[in-house]
Amino acid sequence: MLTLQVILSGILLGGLYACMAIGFSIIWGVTNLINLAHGSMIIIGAYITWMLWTRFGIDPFLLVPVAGAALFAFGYVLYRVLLHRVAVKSLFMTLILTFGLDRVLVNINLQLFSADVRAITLPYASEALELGGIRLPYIRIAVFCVALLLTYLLHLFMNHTRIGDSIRATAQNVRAAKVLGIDTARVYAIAFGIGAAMAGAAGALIAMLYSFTPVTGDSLTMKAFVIVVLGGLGSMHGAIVAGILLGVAENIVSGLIAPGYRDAVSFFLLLLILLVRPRGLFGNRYLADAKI
Amino acid sequence: MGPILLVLGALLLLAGPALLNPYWLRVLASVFMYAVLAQGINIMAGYTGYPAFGNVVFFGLSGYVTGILMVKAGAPFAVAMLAGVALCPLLVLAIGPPLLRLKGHYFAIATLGLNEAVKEVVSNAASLTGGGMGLSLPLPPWGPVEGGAIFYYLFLGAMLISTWGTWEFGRRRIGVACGAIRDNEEKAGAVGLHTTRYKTTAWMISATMTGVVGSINAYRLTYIDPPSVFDLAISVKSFVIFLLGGAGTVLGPIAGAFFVEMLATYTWSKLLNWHLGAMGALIILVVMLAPNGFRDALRRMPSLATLRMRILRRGDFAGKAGQ
Amino acid sequence: MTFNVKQRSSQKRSFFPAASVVSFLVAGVLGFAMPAQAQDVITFGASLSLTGGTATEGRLVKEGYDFYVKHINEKGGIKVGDKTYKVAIKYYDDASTAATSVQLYEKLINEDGIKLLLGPYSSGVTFAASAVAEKYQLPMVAAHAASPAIYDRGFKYIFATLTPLAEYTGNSIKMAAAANPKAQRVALISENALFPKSSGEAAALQAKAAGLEVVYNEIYPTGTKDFSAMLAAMKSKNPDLLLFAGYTGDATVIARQIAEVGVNLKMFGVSLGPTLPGFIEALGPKAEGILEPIQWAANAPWKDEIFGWTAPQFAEMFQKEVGHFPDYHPPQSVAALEVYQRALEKAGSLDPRKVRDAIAETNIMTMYGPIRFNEKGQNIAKGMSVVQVQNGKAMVVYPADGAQAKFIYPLPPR
Repeated sequence: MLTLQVILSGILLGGLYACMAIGFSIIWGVTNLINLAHGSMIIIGAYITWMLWTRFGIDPFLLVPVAGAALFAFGYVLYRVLLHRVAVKSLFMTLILTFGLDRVLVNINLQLFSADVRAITLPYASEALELGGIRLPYIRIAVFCVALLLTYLLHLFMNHTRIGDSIRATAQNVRAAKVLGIDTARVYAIAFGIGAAMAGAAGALIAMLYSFTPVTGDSLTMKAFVIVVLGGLGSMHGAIVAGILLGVAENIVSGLIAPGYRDAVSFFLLLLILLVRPRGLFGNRYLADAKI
Repeated sequence: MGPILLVLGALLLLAGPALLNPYWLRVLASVFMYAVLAQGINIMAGYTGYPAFGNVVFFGLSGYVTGILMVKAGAPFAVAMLAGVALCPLLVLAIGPPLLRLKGHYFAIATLGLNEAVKEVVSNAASLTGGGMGLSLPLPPWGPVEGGAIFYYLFLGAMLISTWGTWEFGRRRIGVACGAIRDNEEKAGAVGLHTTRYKTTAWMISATMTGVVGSINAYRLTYIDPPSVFDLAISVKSFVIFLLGGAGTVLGPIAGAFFVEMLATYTWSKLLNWHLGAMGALIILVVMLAPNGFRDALRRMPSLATLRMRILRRGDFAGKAGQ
Repeated sequence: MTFNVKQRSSQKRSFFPAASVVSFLVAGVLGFAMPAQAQDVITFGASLSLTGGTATEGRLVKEGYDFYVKHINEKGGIKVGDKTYKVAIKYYDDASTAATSVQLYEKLINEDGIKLLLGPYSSGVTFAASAVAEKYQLPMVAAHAASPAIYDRGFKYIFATLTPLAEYTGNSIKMAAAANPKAQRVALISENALFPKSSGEAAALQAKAAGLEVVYNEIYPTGTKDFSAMLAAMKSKNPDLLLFAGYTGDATVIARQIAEVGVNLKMFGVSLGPTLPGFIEALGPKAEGILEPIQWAANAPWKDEIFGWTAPQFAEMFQKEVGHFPDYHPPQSVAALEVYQRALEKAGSLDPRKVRDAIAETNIMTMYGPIRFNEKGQNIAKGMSVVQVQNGKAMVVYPADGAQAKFIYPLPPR
């Protein structure tokens, strides 16, 4: 019974993980930036949600698109102003640049919101679906569904719109895209914006389940990182499967084996997948090859 | 001119403890420490083309082995340090060949994963490492003044030796081979270079350098815990230093370490609430303005002569418009 | 390609010494330029966690130090021998990390010429920083480090105003054993860091000594956000009491997820939370019934022998001047400075060794409580209380004298 409970709540957790990771994956896959500031962008989304919820009492689920939109604007501008200058340069440049960016964002958050712990506790936070001893909180089910819905919408967007087409084309072959007359600089900025928007939306969801402070972002970035590598760069199915896999694996270790090793699991999984199948579970070969 | 300045610089550094107060000795010791860390990155990322982003794992590991031997076995520092340092290349020997099959991003991520995995193991092996409660090393027997000088010389020595090592590395067969691997690994393999062996050796050297300062650092701090010695920020800082100094140069990491540490020390002491952001902004600036190091940035800056030319020309322009 | 490398390195050779010489000269100039201090100011030094994991707690610590400075200077200052000194504090931010803290205390001592040190925040950081004080033989009065490991090393220069760690869980275990029906089955969840883990270990021993049964005892890695699996495992052991040891952010998450998992605890305590800013606000009704061990409460019966404040008067003034109600951290900071003040007055000298000896003989009454040190430097003169969140407020429920409200037990199902 405990095993089943642990696995099911791991799956629910995994949905959120996938949502956190997908933005990271898009940014990396399209613009070739490993965005170490991803966690801080998630936290900005969480603060936006928290602020609007405390000030105006708007239900945080309605604020998910708001946080997403705000972060889209933020991401788009950030890319246009700052990041496009280095996006084509080497790997370490992007790692270091985004690390620096992360420090700046953490510092700004700290000054704006203080280090005091924040969380959104909804009145229905402890209501749960009870099925013969298994207990699944409604809020977690809802968060899981919203996370998957967002991922599905993104999938539709990427595959059935003109912008989506140009993003995919650019990710596959920048030169060809340019020849085709695609404004690749704009495409990059949009892709970065979309990634940021997914981070913002994930932040809204996180605010409902966990507490956060300006420094919470660091561990979220690492999580997104691991999931993307596990699932395969640029793959949406990969992010979902890897997110759920990680959620379940963490929960099994944490609930059934030894909670102290919870974080160790994700990194051993990471090493294992890199050694056995470096392009990840669902990695697109062209992307993996292009980045090597 | 060059050699004279070099000798002068070395003499000044040797005279450090006579000239500076203990705090500045400590800051300089940190500069030397980061210079060594950056040399480690230099060998792997600069010469061989493998961004060992998680190299800090050797820093932490060596520190822990040193600490454990001193605390649990009562070993003197020199012995404990030797053991801690020796473990680093051995670890590379074990994990290097499989990890070094990965390239670019993937190698960077794998080393990062390695660091986190080792950190988690250390955090949990409480009976040996103290786990999350940290490990407290015996206090050095020296007084504050002589202790400061001793650690200064230890780090200085580590820096000089690692710099000499990097120089030797660059001019020997291995350096040539690693350069070939960096530029085109397939071709290097095709002409008969045993690439795995060279890459692994390079990483072993890099790990040893990192281990040396990790061990000294643990003894200097006397208290270590997993988040502080397996801190990725240490790796990032070494990378910034390495980049700033210019990839694949021998003395670049030293210059970079001076610049970054001095600036960090300054912002840290002057900006109580904004030092994180200031450091972050500095990193961003470095990447944008000097992506290929100081030297390149200086070269790209217009010389005084061209600047004067431009101003003159603009003056001409304005003059004409005035007429 | 190798030529490339060599070539570039030889170019570099001429460049490096110039840079190093310049940096070196800069370092030298800065190093010698000791700040010219006015004659009549005593400057204490502290490195605090103003950013990083425990920044909230660090800020409270600083507010306490600043509060004292303001009021002692209004009173004229500290009298040492026949001279009266104003008081100032030099602060740095250690970003909640031990290694940075060590460097900053070295800076305070060597660069800023500080001879009297105030402690940083948290046991882990203090553990490392106190070794610096010991090395230079300068006194450090730590206000915020409870872990006994710090004081068991035979150090002579470290003192702490707060009650040692064992008391953090001791009262809760006593309450559990005395409750009717007894909270027999104890669960312990602790962060894998110095203070929380030692606290969990102490609680396990106390529970066994009190005849309770420890049914779940696990640590979690720093940075964990999701406890649902741990709590499910804990729930399956059917505990009556959960004692959680960790800092405020984690306590908030645990309290939330307890509600989600639906475990029916009779009693639930966290090591830090209800009295800190943000906690009750973030949890709303889910904070109800949570216990926290506290070093001091605003209704404490103490009257300060230096300022003449009672505890409630202090709380009121603090609220007015700083803008929020004080939890126990600010008064703990104030008390640390009061220890220094008495010691300075008694020693009649600024000599750090004399001050250290005077500190060791401290025997004062502050609004934070009585302070006397044992030979290890721990304050053994006062105890701790326990608060429980009732109707959105943290109310003292233990010990019986000084209780503001009745201990609600068992908790209603959440």
